[in-house]
Amino acid sequence: MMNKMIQFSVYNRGVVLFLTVLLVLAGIYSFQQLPIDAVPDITNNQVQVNTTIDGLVPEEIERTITFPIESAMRGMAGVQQVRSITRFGLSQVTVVFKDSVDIYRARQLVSERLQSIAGDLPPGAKPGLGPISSGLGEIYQFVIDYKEVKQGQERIEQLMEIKALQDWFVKPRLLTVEGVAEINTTGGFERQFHIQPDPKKMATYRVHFGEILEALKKVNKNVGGGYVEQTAEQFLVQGVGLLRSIHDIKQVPVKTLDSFRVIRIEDIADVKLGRELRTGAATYNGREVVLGTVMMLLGENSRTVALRVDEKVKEIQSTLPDGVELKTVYDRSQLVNATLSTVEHNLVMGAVLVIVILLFLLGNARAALVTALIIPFSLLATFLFMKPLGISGNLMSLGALDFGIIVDGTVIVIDNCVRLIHERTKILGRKLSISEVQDAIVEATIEIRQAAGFGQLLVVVVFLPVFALTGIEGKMFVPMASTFVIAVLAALALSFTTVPALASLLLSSDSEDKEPRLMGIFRKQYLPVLEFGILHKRKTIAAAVVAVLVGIVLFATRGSEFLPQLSEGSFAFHMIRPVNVSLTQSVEFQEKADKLVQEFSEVEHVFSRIGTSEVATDPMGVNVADTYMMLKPRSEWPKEGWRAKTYEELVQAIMAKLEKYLPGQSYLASQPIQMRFNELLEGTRADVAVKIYGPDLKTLMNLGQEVQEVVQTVPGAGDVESDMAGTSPVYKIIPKSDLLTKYGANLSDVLETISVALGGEEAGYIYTGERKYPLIVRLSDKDRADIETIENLPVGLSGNATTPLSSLAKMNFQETFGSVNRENSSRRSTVMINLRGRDTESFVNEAQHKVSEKIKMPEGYFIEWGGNFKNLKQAKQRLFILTPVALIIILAMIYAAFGSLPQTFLIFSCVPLALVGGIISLMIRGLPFSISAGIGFIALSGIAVLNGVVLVNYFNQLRTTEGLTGVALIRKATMIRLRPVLMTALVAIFGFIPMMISTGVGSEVQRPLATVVIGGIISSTLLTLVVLPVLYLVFEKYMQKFSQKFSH
Amino acid sequence: MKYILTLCLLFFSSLPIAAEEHEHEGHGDHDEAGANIGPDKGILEKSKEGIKLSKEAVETMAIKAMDIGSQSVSIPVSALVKIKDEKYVYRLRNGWFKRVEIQVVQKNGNTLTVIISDFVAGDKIVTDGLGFLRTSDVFSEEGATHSH
Repeated sequence: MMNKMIQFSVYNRGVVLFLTVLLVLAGIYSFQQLPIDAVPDITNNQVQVNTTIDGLVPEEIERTITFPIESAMRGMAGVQQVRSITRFGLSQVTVVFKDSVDIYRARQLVSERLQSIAGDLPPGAKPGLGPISSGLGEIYQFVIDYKEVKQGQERIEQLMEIKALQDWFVKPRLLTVEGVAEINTTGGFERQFHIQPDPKKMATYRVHFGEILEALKKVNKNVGGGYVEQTAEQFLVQGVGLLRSIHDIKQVPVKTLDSFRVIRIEDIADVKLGRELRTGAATYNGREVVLGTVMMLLGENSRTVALRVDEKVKEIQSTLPDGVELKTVYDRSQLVNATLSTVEHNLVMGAVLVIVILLFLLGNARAALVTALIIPFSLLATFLFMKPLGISGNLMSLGALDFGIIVDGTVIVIDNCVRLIHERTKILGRKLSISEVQDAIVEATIEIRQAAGFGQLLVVVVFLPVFALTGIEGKMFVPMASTFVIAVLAALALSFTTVPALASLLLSSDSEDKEPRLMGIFRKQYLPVLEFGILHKRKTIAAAVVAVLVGIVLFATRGSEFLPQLSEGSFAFHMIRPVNVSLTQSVEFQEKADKLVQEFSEVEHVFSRIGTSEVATDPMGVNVADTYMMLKPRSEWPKEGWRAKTYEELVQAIMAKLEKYLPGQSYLASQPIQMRFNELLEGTRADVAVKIYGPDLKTLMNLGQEVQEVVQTVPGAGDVESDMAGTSPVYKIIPKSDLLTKYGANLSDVLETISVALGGEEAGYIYTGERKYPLIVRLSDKDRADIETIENLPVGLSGNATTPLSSLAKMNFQETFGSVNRENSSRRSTVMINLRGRDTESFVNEAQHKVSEKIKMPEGYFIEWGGNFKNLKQAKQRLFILTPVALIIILAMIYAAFGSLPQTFLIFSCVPLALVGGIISLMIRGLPFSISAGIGFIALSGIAVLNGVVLVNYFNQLRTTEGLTGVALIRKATMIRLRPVLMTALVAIFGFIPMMISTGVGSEVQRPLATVVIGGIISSTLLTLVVLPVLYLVFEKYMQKFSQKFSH
Repeated sequence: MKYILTLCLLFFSSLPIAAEEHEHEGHGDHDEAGANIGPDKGILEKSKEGIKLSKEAVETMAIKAMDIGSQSVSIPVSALVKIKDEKYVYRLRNGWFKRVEIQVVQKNGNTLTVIISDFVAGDKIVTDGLGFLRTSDVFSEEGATHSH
């Protein structure tokens, strides 16, 4: 069948080439449709239910909102985990679904469940689903501010104005951009009209808070009077009561005294624009601003959406009011472009080097051209399959493609075609006719097809274990392996269709194949080495075994890391202040920190997000700030001595400066995308997470501390952190029923006084155009902060009288918990452990033992050990099965093809020989072992086997066709096969060289892979060319008559 | 034959090693700051005398202190540190900042007359940068915990 296909391709090359053109066009189209981002998305499949509520303390919110919502989410199909966090003003329930569940279906299920309990939630609680976005969703950020910054109250008004601009002007327009899921706003103040009653005046006139609210609600509306008919026409009737200005509000009557004096708002209160009780703020270069974050719809192309948003932003900028400016502070398309250009640069450079190598070794420009054309063709064919398979284009999936390996099959086919045409020309002593060239190509392709195709199939099979990875590792590496496999298969298919077709079109009939001089040099160098090997068989083999053993020892002592961290070209720090810090103080800290960071000339600008944004995608306390530091391109960094700082040195320098100049906060250094991933995968990214479940927060906190102390003593525990933030003070006002009875007061009046006076209550809206601003009744900030004033708040009694709050209630400070974490329907505290220099399994065993020995769990409390190690354990179990399976399949494939056990092992021996080189090159470059390098080793095994197959196959062929044996056979076969073996090796090496030396964005991931492959191929090629023939000689006597499979 | 079998066995054993190796380290995610107090940090020392700040920190936080002549002294309201329903001031003595209790004797507009519990000649009272100072003091006490 294969033979027929090859024949068809050559004799009907028009059809094949036409189909190839179609493939190219379809490939280009799919590339444009392909979602592209910098890194693969590792977020799990989750739906967040955010419920905001004003004023309640966390434990109250947990009881009345979080718990009911959480219970409602139980028992849905496909749910993996329900966890929640409750803090001041917010309840967030995160429902994690299995990856196979469609996100829209998941949201549908969640919102159905939510609907069913909506009535049970307290009034004012507004549950809503988080945006349909992922960890890669925050693609664009901008700040809005006045060019001229004012001070004091005027500044507050500026911040109100820009927030209003964002809400009513910028946000609605950006939401119309295709692919945008949500615009999140941080910072600024909502424009609110505040009615700030003076408690003393209220007491004088015996007005209570309820009356003020009622008075405002009564008047602030328009009413309709229906329509009135006249002779022939009709008109409408409207009664206008809507308040329009501060003056209007002041005139609202509240109460008529016994003396018939009318008390208006202005008599008892101050009316002005007031500050809302915020849960977050934003800064830019050291001053408060409004920060907008554009969140991309799940599955969209981040680069395209970011570009679209940017276009819209430019449009909006030109229409902003005078004196206001909107600046872009983060644009994902820049990172994606930088990453893509790294990939592109590496691929183009690799391709060029491959062509050059082919030119030198083949000495035939046309043959090199055919091979080079296969590079873009197979890439485009790969794109065709990526989207349907749900693989996005990114550094991991595209970055690992090495065209040296991918065109191996093509190289072997083309080499054989050139050789055969050359031979025939020599025999006939004339140019070949077109049909003779075609025949030669068909024959040459058929002759080599099994060796070439077989080798490439092996490359595919060795990737099998990678598919066993699950969880985050799976999301990172499975796309990489899939893309590689698709590309290899595509190139394989092309090498039997398009390649012979193109060859028959392009290869000239007089292929005057004078061997290039370079090959001559190689041969001259190679021959004596081979002869030496043949003479000293034992020594040669012993040397190879020693090399492998040394390699294994080196490998075992090599340090390892999980994944080389992709540098995003910018930093994101968590700045963490003591848990009870006020928002105002937190902002002041941030402003100082911004300025300190800006003193580094490497930094372009700094912006930050403090606390929780409007859409609570990341509910942080006001003590935590995400600080983003956008850096200048590294080429613009100042040189210190002979070079600029590295990223790592810059992080250390910034950190050291902040720690010295600004104590009072601690820092966690990270990068924007990385930070977002960590937030969404909360708790699951630590190596080991000890989760303690139980009913009482205090006990949980104590247990957490105990566990932390015990675990810290176990060797290998690096960072140990507990997620219980400690307690926050709460001022409890508890009405006493005996006092209430004594004064004839109502409990509800007391509660209303507290909630209106201190928390504030909305009494309607003030409308200007389509904008509406809330009208709030609340004490002034100064009065609210004064304990004495609170004690003397007037509470309305029956019959026109008031009495101070302190006469009805007891007040004192108590401690409460700032946030409550829950998981699987129970309160939870977590101790997170990241390990240093110890394998997880033995650590967990020892820690489990110690903890159960030293800590006795009270009744109703239990511990669960989780974290990343669970994933790794699972992956390891699968790898333990699949790695040997893959190896056995390879062995079986070789055996099936060669029909000889000694030969199978002979070919297989190339693998350890290749791994040695990989390990040594990692050592030389000082790189640790990582999954990236691991993938390199896997690819390497495939290439090594390919080399062995090509060589041993030819030994056999010569034996059967020419009856050669022993040293003569080896000499002839190696001389003829030297070129394809060298060519595949050099092509693979040079294809990877740009990746190995690259320093662009994203090169961290590619470098170890490229290093391993290059080193491995060098060692395996050298050794296969010498050790393999020697081994063949030694084992020749064991071999039976060879199968005819490979001899034509 | 023996050699080759050895080679193969070695290869068999090498890949599972690869799987095990990536478990530890390299969670390059977070670089946790070390201890929060030390000669190259903002808080140089901590003792029962309070905390000692680096001169850079004092400058950045714009901490200013005023001289006081005696135990009973009038201070601006802004020098008062309110914690829940209690009132304190920060005292600067020999470079040590310490929170001390006070008794308010008299309030007059924006000035308070207070009595400081423990007074030695040369003591100063912090008037500016109190928010930063207080936070640093709390930080030195209990650190800062990150929780989501």
